[in-house]
Amino acid sequence: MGGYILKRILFAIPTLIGVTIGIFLMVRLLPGDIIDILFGGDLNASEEVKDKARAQLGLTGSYPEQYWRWISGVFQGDLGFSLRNTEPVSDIILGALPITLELVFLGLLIAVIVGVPLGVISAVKRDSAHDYAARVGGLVGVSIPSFWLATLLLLFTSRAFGWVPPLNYTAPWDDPIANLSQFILPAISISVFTLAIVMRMVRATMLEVLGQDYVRTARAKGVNRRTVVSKHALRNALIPVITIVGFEIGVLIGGAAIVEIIFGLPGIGYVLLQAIFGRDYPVIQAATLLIAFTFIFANLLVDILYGVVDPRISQE
Amino acid sequence: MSKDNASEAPDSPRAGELNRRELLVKAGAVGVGAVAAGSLAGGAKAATRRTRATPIKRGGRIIWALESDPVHVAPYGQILTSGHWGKEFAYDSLVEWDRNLNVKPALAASFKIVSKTEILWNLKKGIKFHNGKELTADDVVYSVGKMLNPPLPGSISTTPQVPSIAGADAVSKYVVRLRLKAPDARVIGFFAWGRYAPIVPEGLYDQINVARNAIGTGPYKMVGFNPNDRVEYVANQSFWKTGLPYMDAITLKTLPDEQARVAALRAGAIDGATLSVDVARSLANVSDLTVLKGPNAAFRELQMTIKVGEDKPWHDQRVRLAVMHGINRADIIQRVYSGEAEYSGFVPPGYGPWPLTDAELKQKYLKFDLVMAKKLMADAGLAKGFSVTMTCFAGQDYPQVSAVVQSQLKKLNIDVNIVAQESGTFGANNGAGRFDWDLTGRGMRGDVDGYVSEFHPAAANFKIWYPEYRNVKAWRGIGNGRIELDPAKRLPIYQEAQRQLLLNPVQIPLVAIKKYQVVRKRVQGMYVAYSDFNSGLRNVWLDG
Repeated sequence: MGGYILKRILFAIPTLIGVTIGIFLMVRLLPGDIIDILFGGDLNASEEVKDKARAQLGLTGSYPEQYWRWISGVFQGDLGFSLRNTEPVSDIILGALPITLELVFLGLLIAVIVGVPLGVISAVKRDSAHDYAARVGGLVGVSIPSFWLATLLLLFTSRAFGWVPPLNYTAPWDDPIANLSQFILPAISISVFTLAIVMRMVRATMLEVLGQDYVRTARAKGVNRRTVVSKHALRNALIPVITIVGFEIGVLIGGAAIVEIIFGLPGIGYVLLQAIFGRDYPVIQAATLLIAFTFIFANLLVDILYGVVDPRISQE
Repeated sequence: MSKDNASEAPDSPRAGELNRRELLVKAGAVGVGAVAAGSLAGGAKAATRRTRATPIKRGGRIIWALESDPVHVAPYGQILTSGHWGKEFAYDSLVEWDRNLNVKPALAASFKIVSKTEILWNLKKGIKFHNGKELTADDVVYSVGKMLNPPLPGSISTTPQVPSIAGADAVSKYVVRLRLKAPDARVIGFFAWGRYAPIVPEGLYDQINVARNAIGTGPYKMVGFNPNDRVEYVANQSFWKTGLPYMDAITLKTLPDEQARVAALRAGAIDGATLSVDVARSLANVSDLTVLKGPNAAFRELQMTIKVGEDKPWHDQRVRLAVMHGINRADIIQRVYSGEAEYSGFVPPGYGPWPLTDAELKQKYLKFDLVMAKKLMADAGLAKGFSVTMTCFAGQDYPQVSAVVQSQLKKLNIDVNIVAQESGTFGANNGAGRFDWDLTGRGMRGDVDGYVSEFHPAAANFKIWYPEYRNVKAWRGIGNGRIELDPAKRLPIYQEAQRQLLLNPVQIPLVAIKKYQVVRKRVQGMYVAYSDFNSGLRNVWLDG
């Protein structure tokens, strides 16, 4: 297992370097650069003034030179400075990351806590009213865009209860209740799609597992149904769920941007989106690198967990 | 309950339920680009309605939602309008506009134009910055230096907005000499506008992180700024205007999503916000809310390029005039804005005494006359029309206006292909002149010159956009107007320049829109500022 993990980490390095090159080039291929943004609509700006602005922002030199300046800084822990407000990019990322991590964690927690039991019930009570309700609910869940649901929830609570989540971020250790009340609606918004996927996946694998010989043997030996489901079947049915959760961590880190914007949560997705509009290259590059790193790390974690959940895999 | 602006007489388009809904496009907020500074003097008509006044009560906190993040709050070099939203309550300038855009004394009690290139400013005595330091001439000298060369995080991209200021000297403790490189009438308006001209204490950039903090003379002291989150202010108890401010604190919360702002308003989580016309009007019957509206300097226009080496149909003046008279602005006003917009020339309505009258525009220069337009096209040998690509911002009302213009110009056999672009892409292409036509919006200017200077050959963008354009009469007016310091003499110069530009247009001004803000009933004294800032918040109070 140790050798496997090391091999995966070594493979991750060229992947990340490839990501840095890719994102470095992609943002520069976008029409317009930050100079165009800064001078957009300006009717009296000469090329000389624009060149001075480029020098002021450190945008001189060829692309390889600019890339090397940036990547060598990254290896030294220096992510550079925002072109829009000169704040250290590391400060920007560190300020936004806890918000997104909490949002993603809560979203996935809701998805798993609700999705797994629903999937089990749906499988055990196959073709019952519960099963049909869960399957229809799952279909609706994968169809609803998270940003649409977020807006709907906000408008509903404001109209029905005269309440919206608190606008100012409170850390969970400062005031857990205020923190939870701020995150509950956005977490629900981003959880629904994953919840539906988890529910459907658990249902499908449970049905498969429940049809296995060893399950029939356990039932024949008189093991009660609850023990068969929870102890013998569920553990095997959870393996695909681990895959989904690992995959969704990476997706949601960046994909929660719209929900963050709707609820006024200054997380990573929000920061990245604003940076793209403003052509703030260092922030775009750092945030994308973080998302890529999270993706790779989460998938590595998933693979390790596979070995824990399924001893056959770790032996292989 | 909504409050219509009784002082305005909106156009009266044809009646009937019109097909606006099919023009609505969901879009995010898009900031309109930077503007050139200028001076504005004399009586102005940008009066807006405000919330009904009740006896003033002191205290409390108001929470206002911003539709875009300020990014940073440095006093100089801030190109974004939202950047000024974040810092405007911390700073003042030498003069200021009142709500009708009349220039009033501010930090300077008076100024004297000594010569065409020298202005003396007499500062008020005893004004304190938020750190307790008294305002003196040295602070103004320092501030002017930063205006001319804004350090990071500001951008020197704002320096073209600054008039021909050479520098400033302290004549005495409270007297400043402002030196100009050349006669430039834009100076007074530049300071009154304040966007690029706040006065800060000497040495500010060495004392604090200006990206996150502010020290000024404004009615509120900034106590915190979290990017993408909020700006926090508390009252300046030593504010130089006795009796102000009324509030204890202001919070500016960034909420880019419009529906989130609506939800927060309904729930009472915020006290006010800017909203689009349709959304604001939908809240007209909400008992706890008041809908405010006011004229806005952001008029829409159709830009064309006339470049060397190209032989495009609109290089012919007759074709441009055909487009000018082939567009039915009343139709745009009704279909896109439900009647809540006005005809606009090159200087938008409400910008002081400078714009041409509504009657003059409707009856002559912007008159919808399809017969004349077709004749002009025929005279130019283009009765069969032509095809053109028109780019526009992908957000706000631009796609809708583009669609209406497209449908109208079909009658002239002009086939307009609309390409909506993201703001960065649009700005890049626009700045480089990489377009044939585009539909865009102008913004606020400090001086009337800012609305016409782009048509003069001395302007940088002229060389990029329309180097083949000729309009000597307009050029003469623009050149003379900039160096004439007497407002009474400037007025006829600029009005004639506008007429000449409308007779031989290279851009087609369309309509001036209105800005809507919705506040909770407890907010008193608020008004929609013409400048696109939230200046009304300086003087509000809470009733209950």
